[in-house]
Amino acid sequence: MGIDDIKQSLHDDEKKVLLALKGKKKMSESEIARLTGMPLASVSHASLWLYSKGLVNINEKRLKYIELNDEGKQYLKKGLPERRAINAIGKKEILVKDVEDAIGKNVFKIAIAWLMRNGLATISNGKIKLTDAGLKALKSKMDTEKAIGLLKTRKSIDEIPENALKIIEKRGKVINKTEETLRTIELTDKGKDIIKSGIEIGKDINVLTTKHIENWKKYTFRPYNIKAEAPPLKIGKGQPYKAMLDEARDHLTSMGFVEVRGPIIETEFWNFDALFQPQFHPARSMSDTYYIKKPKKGELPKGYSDLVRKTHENGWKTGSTGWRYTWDPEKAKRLILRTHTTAVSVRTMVKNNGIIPGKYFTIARNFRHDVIDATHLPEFYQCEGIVVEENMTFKNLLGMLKEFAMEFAHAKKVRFQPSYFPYTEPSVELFAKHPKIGWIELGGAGMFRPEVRLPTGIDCEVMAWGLGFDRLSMLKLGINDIRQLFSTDLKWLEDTKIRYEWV
Amino acid sequence: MPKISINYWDLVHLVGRELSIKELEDIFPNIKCEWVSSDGETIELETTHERPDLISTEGIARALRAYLGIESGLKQFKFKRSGLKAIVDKSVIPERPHSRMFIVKDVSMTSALIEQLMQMQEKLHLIYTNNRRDASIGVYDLDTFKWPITYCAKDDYRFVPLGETEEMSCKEVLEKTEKGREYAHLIGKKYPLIIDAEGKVLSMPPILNSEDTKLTAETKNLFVDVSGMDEKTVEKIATLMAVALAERGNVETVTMEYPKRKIESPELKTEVRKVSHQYINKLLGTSFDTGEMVRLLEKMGFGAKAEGNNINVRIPCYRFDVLHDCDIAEEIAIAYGYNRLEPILPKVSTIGRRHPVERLSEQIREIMIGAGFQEVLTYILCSKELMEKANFSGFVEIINPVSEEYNCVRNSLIPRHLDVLHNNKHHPLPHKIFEVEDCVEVHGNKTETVRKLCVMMIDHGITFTNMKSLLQVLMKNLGYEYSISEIKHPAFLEGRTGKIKISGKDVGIIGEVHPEVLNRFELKHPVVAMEINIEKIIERG
Repeated sequence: MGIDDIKQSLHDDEKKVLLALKGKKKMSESEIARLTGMPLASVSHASLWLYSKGLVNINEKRLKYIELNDEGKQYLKKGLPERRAINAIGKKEILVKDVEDAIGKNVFKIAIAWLMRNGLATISNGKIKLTDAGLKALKSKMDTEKAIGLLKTRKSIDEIPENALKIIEKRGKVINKTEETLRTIELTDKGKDIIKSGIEIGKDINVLTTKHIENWKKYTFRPYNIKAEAPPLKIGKGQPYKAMLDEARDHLTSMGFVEVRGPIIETEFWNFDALFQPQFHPARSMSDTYYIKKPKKGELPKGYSDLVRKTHENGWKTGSTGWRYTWDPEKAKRLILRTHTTAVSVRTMVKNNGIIPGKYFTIARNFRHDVIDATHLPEFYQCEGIVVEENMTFKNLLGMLKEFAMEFAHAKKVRFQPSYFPYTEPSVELFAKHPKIGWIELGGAGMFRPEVRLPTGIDCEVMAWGLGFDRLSMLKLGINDIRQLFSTDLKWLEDTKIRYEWV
Repeated sequence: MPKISINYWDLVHLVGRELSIKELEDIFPNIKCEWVSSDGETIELETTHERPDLISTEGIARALRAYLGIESGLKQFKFKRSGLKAIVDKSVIPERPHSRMFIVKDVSMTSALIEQLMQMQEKLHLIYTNNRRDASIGVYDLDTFKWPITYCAKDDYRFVPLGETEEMSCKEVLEKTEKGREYAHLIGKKYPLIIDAEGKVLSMPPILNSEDTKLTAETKNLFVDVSGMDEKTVEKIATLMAVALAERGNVETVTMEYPKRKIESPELKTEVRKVSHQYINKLLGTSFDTGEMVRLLEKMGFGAKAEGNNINVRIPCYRFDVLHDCDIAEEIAIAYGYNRLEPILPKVSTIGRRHPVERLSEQIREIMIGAGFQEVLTYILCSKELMEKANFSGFVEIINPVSEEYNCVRNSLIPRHLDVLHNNKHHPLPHKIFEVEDCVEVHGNKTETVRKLCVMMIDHGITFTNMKSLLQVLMKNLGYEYSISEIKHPAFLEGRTGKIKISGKDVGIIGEVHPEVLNRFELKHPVVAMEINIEKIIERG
């Protein structure tokens, strides 16, 4: 940088420091502060900036300081305890008790100790009188008083004579010692050149005020060091996993899906029976599903539940053989924690059975009867949906799934794998190719079985799909432990970025 | 899903053709076996619930032979009559009435076979038999006892149970053996027993076999029995065992003499289904002709014959998952290959719409984030201990929790949020957190899922007023008129707690958290909290 550029970059504080140093060999920061009337911190900052521009050199020296502590300051103000005792006794011999009354019990205790130790007074028969040394002290200051008198302000240890220091230290806890770095500033040749070229203060503007804005032509605006680190700022912020789920909701809405919602505590009926899962199915047991204590049972929808019963028992009019067993309505009434959001889909079909076409989705939590570890959560979000429309085919389902994989996982390649769900046929699992990780499972899907859709009153094919976002979200957030998705570590939440890259 | 492990060399031997591990990994998904891992010797797989025929190496080998064209179409099982007789005595009818038996001759016993037999028994018992109530399996060395045998029930009897050295009474078996204790509840008044012509015990179903009849490395011929309470399950399990063991030796039938009927066991039943070729193409979106469909079904081990526009499908006796024509359609799609089907995006034009509760939740989140609050996400499951620590009650409890940490369903977000503050004690103040999520409330004998907003602030000198300011700006932005009246709540400080009402309806609570609760959560600074049931806000509009 040339001289002009440097001059341009100078803050008024820097200019003040330079001018204070003009013609001097070196100065301490505190001297500069005194001379310029600037706060010491501003002098330090300005000196560092000047140093970084090569205009000054900074020398550092560790200095030891002493100053009176609160007790010491009291002594300075009110006099030492023994001084107050001496003054109270005077030239007479008086009752010890009178001295105590005169100066207070606590001060008196300390005073007596020092009077005795320094031989300033004697006590006999409950009376006290000053010795010769004591009488001398009555007229003139004692050494301790002189020494403490030196410490009216904070002093560098070098400034205090050695014997005074000893006396003060002997006196016990009346002082604090501190160490400080003394910075002395010295102009470099470049600094001297800048001063020679002339420096003006007060024309450059730091923080803009109304006055400056109105008359901006009169001022020049000092450029800031825009590279300097600014203080941290706490902001309001969304939870990253929830933000991703909301993003998915918006995607689905834009694809024409209507959002639906269902209860977390469901009857077995909606969670299993309505989905043609037989009552003897192994998933319908204490080891796979959470059952609740109270209330134990819910209600069955009239009419519809009868069709479900018939379908289970003999297939009803669905063309199915059914499961060929006796369906128990009491089992169907049992309340459980929803194991999948497919329960919401079938509720939606019953509720909206006249409406074709229809596209519905829900993103909600389900519960897993499993031990919690780095890959399993007790509850997980599922993105579930259905498409109800005449003439939908399995190929359409694959088309829809491919679209999801591209939309949610930005996948260029997808793979379909046969799968099994008791309520869909054909059933399929969707995999997307991640450029680094390889194939990852995104979810399952299928065409609802006639045994599921016909009792709800829907006489055309229904495509049903369920996607899991846990794995995708983990990849996006760069985390390995699934429990982190529900982390409530505020530090992590505050620091986690909200923009993600897929790769 | 059932997890099984099979031996690679055993499988290749049964398939009868060389197949690399890589080839298997590619094919398996198409025969409904999910690849888990392999060390080159053992292959770990997951099969699906509806396919018990695939939980053995034998079943997988059979499916592979069909899929690869080595032996496609319906496999014909022709079991010879052994001429052996088993009597089902009327004494056993009230106890455990159903039984199927058969024998397998000329088996070459290998460790792979023993492992498979054990795995098959274990998995079938575990998944399909209602914990041995509906059916249980016994496998024996055929050459260790004398025919005819009797399946009967007795008040007591003595024998040496498997793995023991001393004779025990049936009663002692229930008390002293591990299996006895595990399944004692399945025994009624009398003990079901299989006894040979000389009174020797083969087993006490469904508890234990006898030591005398166990399989050894020298066993050449097998005897298998399946007994249980549910005839259909007994039949199915017997079928599965018979067709699997047909891969290992020659299965022969046993004549079962019930009190009133005779059965040649096992009976293999092949169901026939007439499927419309049009229906399948309509469901799949394909245009296969009947000949193509027949070929594809044969690849999946089905028997198929075109008859005009229909296909006569013969369902293998070991497939119990075909209930409807759609099941046939899936077989065809899998045989063709899902990944060869062209994905076609459906042209269904509908108008998308957010759910009002979700939409409002999002609007509230926007305001809260704008107000400088950090959103958190917490579990709906909670511990009873945590709820009670915050003086909350009236929540749903779980009968069968997996852990004490998650044994109830929250009815408020407040306890968990106090826990969040507790866990972030080390983090510099202030903390301003919120969450808009679901809770479950109980009203009488009904449960209700409700969406709630919870807001919490902790800082030096924070008061009710700080939260009130937030409530004011929130309601103003959402466009709701509200009122506040005093209320008592055990989690909050009396006189500094308000009930929030909208249109006369209670929608929430606002207040300073009680120092008693703060102490329990080891919080050293005041906390103000607010919780609003946003579903109730919507009901109003």
